[in-house]
Amino acid sequence: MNLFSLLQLGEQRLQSNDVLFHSQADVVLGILRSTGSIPSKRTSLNGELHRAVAAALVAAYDEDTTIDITVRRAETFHAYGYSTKIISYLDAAIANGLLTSQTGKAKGRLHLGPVLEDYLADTYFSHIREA
Amino acid sequence: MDNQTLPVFSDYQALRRTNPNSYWSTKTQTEMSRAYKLHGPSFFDLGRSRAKR
Repeated sequence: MNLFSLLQLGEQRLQSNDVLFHSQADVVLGILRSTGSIPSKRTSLNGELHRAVAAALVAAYDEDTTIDITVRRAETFHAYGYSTKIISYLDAAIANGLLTSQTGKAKGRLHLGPVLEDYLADTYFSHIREA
Repeated sequence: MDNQTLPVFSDYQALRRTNPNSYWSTKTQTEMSRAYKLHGPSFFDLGRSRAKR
């Protein structure tokens, strides 16, 4: 699914009362920040953007789809109302092994890597056990 | 503090559940990144934290 569609879907889900989705987005954001894929500084300024990226990855997991990136141009990101920082975050996530890409950067079809897959599944099963 | 005493990811997730304000503070988020650099991939202790339950 297209990255922009995933970002929109993730933002919609963040606005809902879906406890599991919020929990999964929190875990993914923790992984992204721990690895330095997303900076841990200035979190109050860019926190919403960081959470939107995490939510898009959770949405990709839920939809069982790849994260498809056809353009990296700043103008396109701005046209859709998103920051170009997103591409640098995804590039870093690939470099840190959290996402896989045939091109080695955030272009084409990205897949979630094993760390994200495992933690998202674990969060899901923990949620089911506690329900 | 050496690698043995530095928290791992499951410790931080426990903090997120018990004290979210502390977890989301810039201080803790930065510390998490430092802990990952020191531990390496073993920072993500999913299998081990599951065994502890």
